[in-house]
Amino acid sequence: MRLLFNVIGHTMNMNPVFFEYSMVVTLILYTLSAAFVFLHASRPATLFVLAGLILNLIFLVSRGQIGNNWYLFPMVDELYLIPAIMAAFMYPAIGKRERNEVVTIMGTLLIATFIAVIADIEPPSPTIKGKSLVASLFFLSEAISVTLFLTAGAVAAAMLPAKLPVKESWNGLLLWGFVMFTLCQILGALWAFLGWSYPFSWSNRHLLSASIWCFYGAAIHLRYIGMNLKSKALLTILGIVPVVFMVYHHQVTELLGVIL
Amino acid sequence: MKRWTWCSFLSELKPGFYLLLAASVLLFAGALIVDCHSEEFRTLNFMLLYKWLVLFHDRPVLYVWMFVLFAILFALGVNTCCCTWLYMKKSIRSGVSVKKAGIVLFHVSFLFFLSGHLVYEVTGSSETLLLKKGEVSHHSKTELCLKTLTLQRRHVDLAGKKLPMGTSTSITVTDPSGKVETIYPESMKPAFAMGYSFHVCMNEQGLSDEQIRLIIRRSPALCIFIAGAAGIIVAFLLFMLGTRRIRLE
Repeated sequence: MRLLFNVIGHTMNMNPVFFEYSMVVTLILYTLSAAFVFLHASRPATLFVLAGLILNLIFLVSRGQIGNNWYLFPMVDELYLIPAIMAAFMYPAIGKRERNEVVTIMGTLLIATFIAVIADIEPPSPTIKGKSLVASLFFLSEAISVTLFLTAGAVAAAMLPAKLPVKESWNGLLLWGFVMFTLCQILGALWAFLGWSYPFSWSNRHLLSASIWCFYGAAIHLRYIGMNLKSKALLTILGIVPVVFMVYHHQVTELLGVIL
Repeated sequence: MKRWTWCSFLSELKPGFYLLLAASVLLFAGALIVDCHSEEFRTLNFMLLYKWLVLFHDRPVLYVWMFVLFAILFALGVNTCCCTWLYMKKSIRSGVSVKKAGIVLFHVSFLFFLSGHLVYEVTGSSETLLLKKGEVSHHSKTELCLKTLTLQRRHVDLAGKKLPMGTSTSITVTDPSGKVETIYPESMKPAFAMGYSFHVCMNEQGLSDEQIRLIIRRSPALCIFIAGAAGIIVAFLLFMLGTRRIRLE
């Protein structure tokens, strides 16, 4: 494993241009995959998404090498990790899930990768707060849960135009997303206590996390409320708003600054 | 008659669902408020809520927001309590399963977290001290006496730059009864002694090589949080075990 990391690290150091543009190439590969999904060609679509995923993972791993050392923290940057997890979810889904579901998930994957590409890639540097393993586990669990929430929203969006009664295939995603997000909150509280001395901080990040937890806590109880399917789907889609605001907070504020 | 309606309202799942949604909306609004007033809210991390509120007596919107949030969270706690109790009774009657036990434990742990937060906001103490190597400092609030024995800063050299990677220190703590303990806190690695946790502050700006900022905290809520976290992890394990068993059957 160490050897693999070193090989990737040295390759990246020797080819800084490749390092800079690898997410662009990843986006191109995902876009090609999406094009083949549109053309009903599952096999090439799967191959391109796999190629994109491998490149995305190489990029993430390469972020860990700083100087002559390896750090876990820069490897779990949500901006680049979310597209990778989504692609890993996409890979077995092509050809197995409903076509409209695959299309909406693919759309979400392309948007997430596009944001990762346009974001300023700052060279990662070691930090005090990132030296704890808890910090890396926190971001990893958050990225997994956020991906599951976004995918659930995408699947729910795919069901909206359907006139025939459809099954709520996003329920499992919501449930496991909620499980991961709850674990992530525990890890986050532990990290905050270790580093800052308090498990809960009155900051926008913590309040947003609490807001998202309450929202999805409500969403997983939807099936017992007796709400109609369309309202359930709309609520699941609505959940994307605070999630996007939390993960892409800097990008959203920058964009608002440009627009307003 | 009215009281009965109110009780039954709080013991149903539907109000719980809407209370969760309302809490979510209020917390989201809170995140936006905090975004605009981050400095004021930062002080709340080191103060008790009622003492902090006194400082902001001229902010009625803040008071209303906090009051409504706490009222909703309280109602949510009561609702969770009632619903879990009813679910537990129903489960016992229909047959206990691993999955149901996981669900009950999860809700009980959630109650632990809610009560933990309440205790956290109204009890405990926290103070930041500036210590100097070799000098003895008296902590007025807790009457602890601290002496910094060693202090070591860690750096990483990166492209000619020295990046701080934390501080490790050893401190002797003496309580009013004369009991002495030596602790070894580091950045991101607090030490515990005499019922307090000692955290090396990550902000090292303006400090000399001989100085260190130390946060001393005592919070009874920590035990409640730990119990809640342990409960949630066990609940998830039970839930996963139960789900797997159902699939296998």
